[in-house]
Amino acid sequence: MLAVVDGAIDVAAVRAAVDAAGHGAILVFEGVARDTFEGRRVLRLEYEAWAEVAEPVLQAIAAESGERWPDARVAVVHRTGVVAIGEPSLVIAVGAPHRPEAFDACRFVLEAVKDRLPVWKKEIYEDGSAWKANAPAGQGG
Amino acid sequence: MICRFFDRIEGDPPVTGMDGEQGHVRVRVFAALRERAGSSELVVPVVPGETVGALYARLFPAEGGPVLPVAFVRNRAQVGADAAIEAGDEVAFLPPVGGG
Repeated sequence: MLAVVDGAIDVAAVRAAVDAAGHGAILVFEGVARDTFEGRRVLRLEYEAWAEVAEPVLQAIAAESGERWPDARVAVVHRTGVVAIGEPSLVIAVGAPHRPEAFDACRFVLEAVKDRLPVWKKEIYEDGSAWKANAPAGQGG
Repeated sequence: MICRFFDRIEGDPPVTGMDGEQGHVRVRVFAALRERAGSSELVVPVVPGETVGALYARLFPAEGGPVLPVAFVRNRAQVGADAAIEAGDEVAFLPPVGGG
């Protein structure tokens, strides 16, 4: 499951996509809309994607993960449109025989998505809005 | 962070056709550029010899809004600002991405 969707993400379905009897570790990461940014109250987020390119990019990211951690199965769903505070905009699930490759693959996929997926985020404040670019890995964002 | 994946993408080729024969390029824009353009897709006449960087400067002059560190994409492959444009091309200008 590698998709960009317009409505709410079915988190259980993303998890189910990486379930397997041989997996001793399953991680589910949810990137969730947060209610503040540097002290400003955030009312909601709005995401847009280059949809027909985003899914091939997800496939490329998953393929790279598969080369590095062949036993880890990855599922990624990113949402577009309005995302309310507390709702996930991104869900990554990774299943693997053991926890090290699950954590490593999940972190790799997350950082690759934030770095490369053609998706843009607008934060809507009480008194304005702003398009927010991701910071490099390890520097917040 | 500028998007930098298109050298590895092998997705569907962009749709081209009559517009190309009539000497136009399709321009895809997103986020702040889409808002500035008023549309996510523009069809503009080709200027002979124009590069993607020059096209960007023509469509989004610095005096009309903030200058973003955009990535240039031509026919689904990332290119430098000096890449030439031909009729029928699809050009995309990508602001820094913010997924997650």
